[in-house]
Amino acid sequence: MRFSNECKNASGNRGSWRTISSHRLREVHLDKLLEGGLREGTVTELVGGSSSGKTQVCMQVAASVAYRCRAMVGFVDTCHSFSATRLSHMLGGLVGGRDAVQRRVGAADEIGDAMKSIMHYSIFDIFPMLSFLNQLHTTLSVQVQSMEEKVMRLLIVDCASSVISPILGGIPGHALMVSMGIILKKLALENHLAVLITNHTVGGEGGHPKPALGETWKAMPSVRLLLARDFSSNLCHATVMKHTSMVRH
Amino acid sequence: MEVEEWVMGHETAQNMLRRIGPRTTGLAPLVPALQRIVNLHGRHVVEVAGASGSAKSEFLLQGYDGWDGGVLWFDLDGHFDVLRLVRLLQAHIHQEARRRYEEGNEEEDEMEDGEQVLETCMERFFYTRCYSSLEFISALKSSRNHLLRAQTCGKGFRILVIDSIAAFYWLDRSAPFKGGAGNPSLSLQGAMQAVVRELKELRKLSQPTGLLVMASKCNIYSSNFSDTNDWASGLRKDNRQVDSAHEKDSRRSGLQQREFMPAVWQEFITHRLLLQSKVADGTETLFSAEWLRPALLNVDEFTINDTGFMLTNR
Repeated sequence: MRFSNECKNASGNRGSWRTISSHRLREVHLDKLLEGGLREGTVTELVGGSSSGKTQVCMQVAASVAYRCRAMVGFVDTCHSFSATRLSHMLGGLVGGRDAVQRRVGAADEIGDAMKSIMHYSIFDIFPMLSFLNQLHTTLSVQVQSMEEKVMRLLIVDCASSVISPILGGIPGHALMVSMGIILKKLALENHLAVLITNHTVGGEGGHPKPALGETWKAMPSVRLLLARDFSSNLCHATVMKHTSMVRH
Repeated sequence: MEVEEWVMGHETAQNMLRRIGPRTTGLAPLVPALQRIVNLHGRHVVEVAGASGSAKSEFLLQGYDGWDGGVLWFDLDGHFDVLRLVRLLQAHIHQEARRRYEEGNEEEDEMEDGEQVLETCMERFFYTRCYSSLEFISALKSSRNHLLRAQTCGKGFRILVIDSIAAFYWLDRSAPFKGGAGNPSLSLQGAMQAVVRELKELRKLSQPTGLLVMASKCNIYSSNFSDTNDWASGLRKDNRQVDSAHEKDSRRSGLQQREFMPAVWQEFITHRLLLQSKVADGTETLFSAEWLRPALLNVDEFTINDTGFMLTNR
């Protein structure tokens, strides 16, 4: 994974924006699609129907960031879809190349290190989720960074819609949803994380699936990617919310 | 001879206009849709409404460029991209320099000048991020001092941008609604009243140039939403009253753009622009801009590229 520095010398403004590039995913160049990768300070949403590969993408991204960037990754799992075995396979692929014979000595240690830097949290309800996110924000804000320790760079919430959908309907539900959006954005901007969330789809007009959680949530993420699985390959569309440009692949 | 002095006055009207004229004339906007409203000046409040992804923040970014005054930017929804702003400014500066070079007025040492212009532009840009209505109101209060200090230096603020005003709508609405005077609660009404009060205060402080307020508003309700389980009956009454005034607006726009902001905000704004996005057959997305208030019949369509908005047809 590339860790490229994009420094902007605008006077009086924030200095560097770092982009975390994500791994090349089968035939899809996710890096190019996102114009450099997952960006710190933004919330990226992956939308897709069932079994369109959202969790696989999340795990692949987690593996890449943990291994290549030597950073901590927080993986919040709300639907029991996380599999440590699968993650270790992905890491094995990253560490030693596709050919198992070529795995060098110490690869197992590297895999172990990378696995240790991925923190897995199982949260199934909105209130524990909100308190966890707030606590994470407080912890990261007061953390004193030392050179040896790894710092958290990526937070994945898979799947965000499964904690929000049950409570939607009426004003308090919307307020909780907006609070979750605000705390995710706060984590991204104040604690310099790249936040990746997933969302499922519901039927829209004309039979085209649209992202769940409605109009208010639609405004929340900065970047939205639609994943659709074809038989043999993954088709990836990037839609709407990007700041700089609209891309259709 | 005091009476004589009093009659003669300190300066003639012509001198006075010459002195403060350039500061009060309309800001020449670069965005094509804004150009339709001539003489957009400091006492106006513009609201830019549209569904998500209809280029509203882009619009606000475009609005700030090359004006000789500062900009106060309040980011309420975390969608601010400083890189995009810098790129836009650079593109505009290059365009301007190229234009001047072609006219033969200036020499071609634009690189240094460009950097300096960029720096001066960025120096006039002040950015604040807020995560709740309380923070927003307190940020507005604390920018009073900032405004006064800047004015004494001679560089007053001319534009105040809010992106987006409806960011805390649901949070404020879910706060308990305690009615009655003398009990200012943090309900939606209370929060909006405080915001409008602060904005008016800031505007009063920046006389005589005035402060142009531009706010973006995301449409929270989708086109076929029906709010059947609304428990705040007081709020509903307000909505119904203003509905009749704005029904015309919403029907004209084609979609059911439901107006959900409280009456105090709706009365505060003087202009409203509606942005919509339509997906074109080709690779680009078309955005359309329509002035709802004052209601104009023309709809501008434009696309966005790296240098900014490009009109496709009038």
